[in-house]
Order: sequence, then structure tokens, then C-alpha cells
Amino acid sequence: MIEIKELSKSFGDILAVDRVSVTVKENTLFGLIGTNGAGKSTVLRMVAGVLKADGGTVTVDGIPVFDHVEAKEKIFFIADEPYFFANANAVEMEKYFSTVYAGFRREDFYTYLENFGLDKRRKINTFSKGMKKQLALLCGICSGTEYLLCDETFDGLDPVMRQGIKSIFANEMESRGLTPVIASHNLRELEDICDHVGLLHKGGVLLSKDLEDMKCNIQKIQCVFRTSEDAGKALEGMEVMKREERGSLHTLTVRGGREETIARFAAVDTVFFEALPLSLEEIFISETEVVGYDVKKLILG
Amino acid sequence: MTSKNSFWADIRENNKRRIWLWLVSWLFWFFYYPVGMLMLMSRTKTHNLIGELPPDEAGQRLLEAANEWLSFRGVLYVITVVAAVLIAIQGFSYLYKRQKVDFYHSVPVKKSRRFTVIYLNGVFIFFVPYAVSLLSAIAVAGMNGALDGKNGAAAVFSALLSVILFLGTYALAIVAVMMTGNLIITVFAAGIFMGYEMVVRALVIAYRMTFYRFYCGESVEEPLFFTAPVFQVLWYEAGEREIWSDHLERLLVGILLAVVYTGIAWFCYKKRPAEAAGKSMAFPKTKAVIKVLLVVPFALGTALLVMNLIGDMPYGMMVFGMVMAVVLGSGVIEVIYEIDIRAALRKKYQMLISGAAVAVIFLVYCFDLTGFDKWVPDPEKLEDTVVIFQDDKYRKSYYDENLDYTYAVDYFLSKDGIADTEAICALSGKKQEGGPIWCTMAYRMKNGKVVWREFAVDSGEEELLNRIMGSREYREAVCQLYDDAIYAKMKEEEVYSFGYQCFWEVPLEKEDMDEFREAYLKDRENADYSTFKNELICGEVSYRTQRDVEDEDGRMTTYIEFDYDIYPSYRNTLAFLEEKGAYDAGLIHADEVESVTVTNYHREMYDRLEEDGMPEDEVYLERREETYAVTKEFTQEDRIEELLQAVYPVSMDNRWNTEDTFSNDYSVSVRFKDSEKEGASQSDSRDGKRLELITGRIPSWLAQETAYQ
Repeated sequence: MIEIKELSKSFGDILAVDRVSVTVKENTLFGLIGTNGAGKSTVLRMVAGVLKADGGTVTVDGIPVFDHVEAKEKIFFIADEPYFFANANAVEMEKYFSTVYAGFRREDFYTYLENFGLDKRRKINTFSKGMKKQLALLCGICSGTEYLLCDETFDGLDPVMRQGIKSIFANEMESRGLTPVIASHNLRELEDICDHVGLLHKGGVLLSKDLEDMKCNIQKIQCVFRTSEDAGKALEGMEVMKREERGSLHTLTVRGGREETIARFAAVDTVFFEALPLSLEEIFISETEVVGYDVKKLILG
Repeated sequence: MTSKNSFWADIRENNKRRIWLWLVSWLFWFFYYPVGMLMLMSRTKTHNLIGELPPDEAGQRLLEAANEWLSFRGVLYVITVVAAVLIAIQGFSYLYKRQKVDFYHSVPVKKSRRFTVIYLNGVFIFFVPYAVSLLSAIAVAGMNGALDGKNGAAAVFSALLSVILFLGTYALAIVAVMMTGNLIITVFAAGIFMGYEMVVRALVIAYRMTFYRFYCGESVEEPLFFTAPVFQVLWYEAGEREIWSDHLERLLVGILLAVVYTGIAWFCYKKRPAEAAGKSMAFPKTKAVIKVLLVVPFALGTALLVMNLIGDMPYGMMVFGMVMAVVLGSGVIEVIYEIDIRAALRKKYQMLISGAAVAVIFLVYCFDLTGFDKWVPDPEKLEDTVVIFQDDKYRKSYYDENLDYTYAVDYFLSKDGIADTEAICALSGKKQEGGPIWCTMAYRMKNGKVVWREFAVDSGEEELLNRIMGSREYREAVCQLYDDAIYAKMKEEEVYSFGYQCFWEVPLEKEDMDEFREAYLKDRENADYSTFKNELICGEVSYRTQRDVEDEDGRMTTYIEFDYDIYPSYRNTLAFLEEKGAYDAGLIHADEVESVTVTNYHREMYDRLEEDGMPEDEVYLERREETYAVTKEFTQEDRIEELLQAVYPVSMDNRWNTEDTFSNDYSVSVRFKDSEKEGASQSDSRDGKRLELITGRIPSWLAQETAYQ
């Protein structure tokens, strides 16, 4: 488990990360989202032990990361612009990582390279940006570490590759309990794979929740009440996060379990009633609007 | 779980990224040492026609050539420094790039291990090719018969110096990398680290020389300890090459410096924030300090530069120069820090701090706020004083007990200082900026400190000067004949010449040396300042021997010479010379002179021209042309006799006599009847035959005879 408590970091006069507290549980896929400059990379670099925090702590399985090799052994960090040795090819990178990570799976690495169509003898500096990211991901996956920190790693990957990587992630999570942490500014990219999401904004965490919890606890309802008394009766005691009315059509985002919410509306007289599925974006918009942020601007750009 | 690969596996991995450096290092040392030695041996054999020389001499030439190549030389010094900086920067330059820092610092490798691997690899890159090539060169020398113990020792010493220089400079360059965030600033920083101390030292000396009236240049001692390894080792290149033991302390300090800088480099590496990559300075807190430390000497140096350019002491311009230097210096450094031209005038408080520091330092020197010039030693705190009069310093040569030349000041410092502290303090209290008698004082205080001053005193301070110059310590310091060890060595040597010299040089027997010494030292006991001031030297006894010495430029003959001035009151010495028939033989007698030619320059005429308003440069031309000079030859016996009474050899002109003892208006030449003497008078290469006239003895008729018509 990665535990981030009250983590802060400044660069000169700029407060990049402000008292962030997040917990990443084992064997979950954690998505760290936020706009550019929200502090995602800084948080990941602190988790990777590259940057020293000004305040707060980062522990990996209870071990502080900075200057602790025991913690770093559990982590592989893929920076937003992954570095490869000058004039090196994939084989040379493998040789290096094999000396650094004892659990590096060489055979898997070469198999993956082949599957992804990456030439192991070709100089990496002739690779495209996407190919470099693929290679970095393969190095990270095969490193054998428990945690894989990916900073904007999925940017620049084509959809097929993205799906391929996602399926590898799924396999690795299932087979050996890999815990990927993916930072991205693109919410849609993470929606179908993340178990848990943390939203960063201006250096602080707006929220951090399990996706399923969020999905189960928020319902989007469209309905037409017979009378206004019916509407009042249905909504009485219910936490309405968002309410829109177009003529007699009510669109409501309410907090509560699906069954419980449907039962409530069933108990009143409605002309039309429907419980709609919520996208991750909508959940975030609702959740963050509650705390006063116009998150549409943040995550949808 | 991290890899259990060995430390050497890490070294190997690191080396893969430093292959080009290995290649450069191998190529350079290979061509420098074995190939260079091979070519040198071949050239020495061909050019010197070794085959035609006797075997011993041929072998010696090869040995000398090989020794030169195996010794620590200037080129080796430069290459070592450049290599150290290059290897340090290449090894740790990953810290300049965020990508690389993210990569290296996120992998599970201990900082200490990464530092050690990169550090050691750097050392290996320099020394493995160096050592192998040096051994190959030794082998090549051996195969050519140019290897002996001396050459082997030279090679070992050269390697030792290279190690010390490399390790110290390498560590200092790593510190520069750690403290900066990009290549250009690192190179600047390395240069500053290496040169800053010397600049500050030079500036302090320059300020003292400029503002302190009684500052003594002799007080600048080469310190045992330089902060920059480049200077710690430079002494060797400039100094003696043979005596290891003399340099042991310096070698140890050099090693200590390397250790200390390596420690600092490691500390900085450990503390360096990853976010420093790409910035100019890695540690923000050091920015202001470094800026002030750079701006202050820059501004103070500018003031001196302005003074030298304009001349005299233009205070207004100097202050203006300092202000401009502070603003400009601070601005440029801030621009470098921020990599933004608009930052030039930011952090004005730092400019103010620098300006204040510059002003304080300048005022301290300008108004002598430390009381440097006013200082007079407290007799209670003074142990003794080494007094070196200018005449003693420059007119004579000093040698140690092996008859090796010794710088006068070093020689005097090795002798007893004047114990009459009252006289010393009283004389010091009467110091003045200019005057007839210049002296350098090394006050040796009871607390072990040596304080230096240089000043002039008036010739009227006869009583105090007599106490000093009549003291045993002064006598024994200035007259090396007192030194038994030196005297014994003089006697051991093969004498080149030993004799009395006045107008003529009259040889004495080597066997007479003891007798002369006894007589001379007896006379010297009673000599003091009054003797030197009031009497004219009536000759000197000189001892000369010669030696073949070898230095970097090859073999040469050097003369070791001791001269002993003889005054009329030295009765024992004069009696000795008369007994040997030398005294009379050294003089010019009227009956052997054909004619005496006197030139009267009429210098008063040029003064008159100036008074009449002739431009200075025209007067100068007139002087050079000697327009008013009148030369007259006197052949009459009585006139010759009178003139010879006044004639005196310039070489014996006594500096202690500050009155107008000798006339500047006349020059004299003598023509002898005897062609042999005439030849001798013309051929003497020394200025022993240049003659002048003693003012008080100039015949009254001479002015009229040589009047300008």
C-alpha cells in the first residue's frame, strides 16, 4: 500500500503540492487525474523517491521512499518523458534494468517486445514517441516491482496499444498483484480501467474514492411527476446534488443506492421515470461541484 | 528486491555510458607515454649521434632525455587538470537533466553506491590508461638503456603528483557540478573554485601595496596550503624536483584536500535536490552568498584597474568604478541565476550588501583603519628582528653551507635576529616613506608571528643604526665569513680566484685564507654604521669558485662569489694585505699613468635651459647629446697626481654614504704607459675600471680647465 499523508512540495515560490493525502491500495489500479500543473507529476516523483517532500510522508508498504532502496525496490517509475541511454537499444536497457531489478523478467520482456512489434536491436532514439512509451511500459511491467507509476504514459499511445497495455495490466494485476498508478489529465482514458481515482487540482486533492463506490452511491434520474406534491414527497430527505427542470421533465443527480432510490421514486406517482447510467466525468462533475469547483473546466478542458 | 549483482557489475554498466572517455584517455596516454618515449629515444640517438659518443656519455644523454619525459611536466599538469574537470562533469552531468534524474534516482540504487561507482569510474578512466602507459614508457626506456633509479623515482613521483592533482581537482570539479545545474555554469564554477583564492590573495596584496606606505612585499609567503589543488601542486612544477622530503607536507596537504573535497562532493550529492536539474544553481541558499563573494573582489579589482588606467589616486573615478562593478556584477550574476535578462536589477538588497562590503573593505585600506602604517612593535612582545638593509640585500649574494645560492631574505631569516628590541622599536618609530636608508624588518614576535614592514630611515639616526649594525647578530648575518660551515665548504672547493681588488685585482694564495679571515673578522667586530657611512671602501677581497650545474635548460657554469669590503679603519686586514704586497699593487700610481682624461658634463647648463623655458623634451635631447660636455686630457705629472688623489672606482661606491661624496659632473678615464696595464684596464668586463671623482678631493683648477666656452 502506498500511503501519502499531508504531502507538500514547493518549487521556489510556487506551491506545487499542498498537503495531499491519498492511499493507494494493493492490487488496484489507481488513477491520478488533474489538469496540467495540478501536481500529478510532482506527486508521482515524490512517490518514486526522486523528489524530497517539503512536508508530509510517502510510504510504500510502510517504508518511507526517499533515500530508501527497500521502498524503491517495490516501485518502477515511468516519467512523462521516459529516459533511455544514448544510442541504446532495448537489449541494452534490459541489461541495465536486470542489474537494478533482480526480479526483471527477461523472457517476458522479449516476448512482449515481439508482440508489440518493437525491434530489440533498433536504437531507441529512432523510435517514435509512442514506441518509446510502449518500451518504457514494457520495462516497467517486466521489472517485477509491485507498484508501477505511470506519468501520462498512455498519452501518445494509439487505441490498440492502449488496449493491449490495459490487458497486460489486468493480467499482471491478476497474476502477481501489480498495482499500477496512472497519472493523466484525461479522465476518459482512465474510466474503464481504474478502480480508484484521485483528483488533484492546484496541488491539493479534491477527492479520492473507489470508482464503484462513487458509481453506486450517485444516481441520475429523469422523471416527470404527476403533481408537485409527488415531487416534494419523492425528494424529501434525499440529497440532491444537481437538479434541472425542462418543462415537466426533471433531471436529478441524487446521492444514494440504486435500489433505494428507485424504490423511493416508485412510491410516488410519476408519469415517466428512468434511472440513467453515470459516466465517470459526470460523477466527478457532480462531486466536485458540491465542493464548489467548476470541474468541467478542469477535466474536460 | 534489488539485484544482487556485484559492485563491479554497476561499474561495468556505468562504463558503458563512458566509452568515449575511455577511448580518449587510452589514446592520449598511449601516444604520450610509450609512443612518445619511443620517439624521444629514437630522436636522441639520431640527433645526438649517440653511436659516435663514448658509451658512458651516450647512456647519460639517453637517461637525461628519459628523465625529462618521465618527470612531472607542465603538459602533464595541464592535461591532468583538464581531464579531471572533464571526467567529473561527464560523470555527474546526468544531474543537469530532469529526465535522467527521474530515471537514475527512481531506481533502487543507493545514492552512496551510485556516487561511488561514478566517482571510481572517473578515477579508473584517468589512471588505468595512465598507469599502463607509464609502465610501457618505463619499459621502452629500459629497453633503450635509459632507465635507472633516478628515472624510476621520477616516474613514481610524477605518478604521485598526478594522483594528488587529479583527485583534488576531480573532487573540486564534482563539487562544482553538484552546486550548479547546467554545463556552462559548472565550467564557470570550476574555474572560480580553482582561481578564487589566488584572485583574493592577489587583490589583498595589491591593496596593501597600493594603500599601505610601509607594506613589505617579502611578507608574501607561499602558503603551505592552497584551497585549490591546482595551486597546491603548481609549486612543484615551478620548484625543485629532487627533494621529496621537502615537499612531504605539501603532498600530505594535497592528499588531505582531495579527501576533504571528495567529502564535500558526496555531501552535496546527497543533499542536492532533484529539481535543481537545468537550473543555474542547485542550492538556492548559496546564491546570495556566492554572488556577494564574486561581486566584492570584482568591484575592488575594478577600483584598482581604474587607478592604474588613470594614474595617481582618482578617488571619484574609483568609487564610480566600484559602483558600476557592483551593479554590473550583481546584474550579470542574477541574469545567469535566473536565465532571464530582465532579472538584472532584481534582488537589490544583495547589491546593497555587496556595495556595503566593498565600501567597508575599501575604506579600511584607504584610511588604514587597521593601523597598519602606524604600527610599531611593542618591545615587550618582540622576540627579535631580522633587519635587511637594501644595500645588503642587493649588493651581495648569499649561499648556504653547501654554497648553494640562497635568496638574501631567506638567508637573513635563517640567522639570529637583532636582539636589541629597544633600538629596533625606536628606529621603527622613526620610519618614513622615503629616505636614504631603506630597510626591511621582519619582526619576530614572542607569539611566533612574523610581522613585516619596509621603510626608510634618515641617515641622521646614527646612534640607533650603530646599535643595530654594530650588533653581533647583524655582523654574523651580513658577513658570511663568520659562518664556520660555509667557510669550511669554501676551503673545500677548488678556488677559481681569491684576491684583493681596488683599481687592480691582485691574487692572494688560498693558504692565506685563514690569516685573512682572522684579520678581517677582528676588524669587523668594531665596524658599525658610522664606519660604513663615514669611510670610503678602500678595496675588497673576493673569493670565487665555479661549479657546473644542471637545470632544465641544460648544463651551465655558475660562479659562487664572496666579496668582503675593506674600510680604512680595518687595520688588521690592511696590514695583512700590505704584508702580502697586495694593497699597494691594487692602486694606480702616477708614474705609470700616461694621461688622465676628465669629462665635465656641465649639468648646470641644462638646468639653466629649463629655467629659461626650453621645452622638457628639447632639454632631454640636449642632455642626451651632451651638448655642453667638455673633455680634457691631462698629461702633466703634477696634475695627474692630483687627479689620482680624487679618482675612485665606481664599483666600490659605498651606498651607506648618502652625502654628495662623489661628483656627478665628471667622468674620468686613465691611460697607462704600460701597454699590458692599458689592455687590462680596457678588457675588464666588470665595472671595476669605471672611475669617478671624490667631491672633496677635486682639484680647484679642474673646473676652470674644463669650463664651457
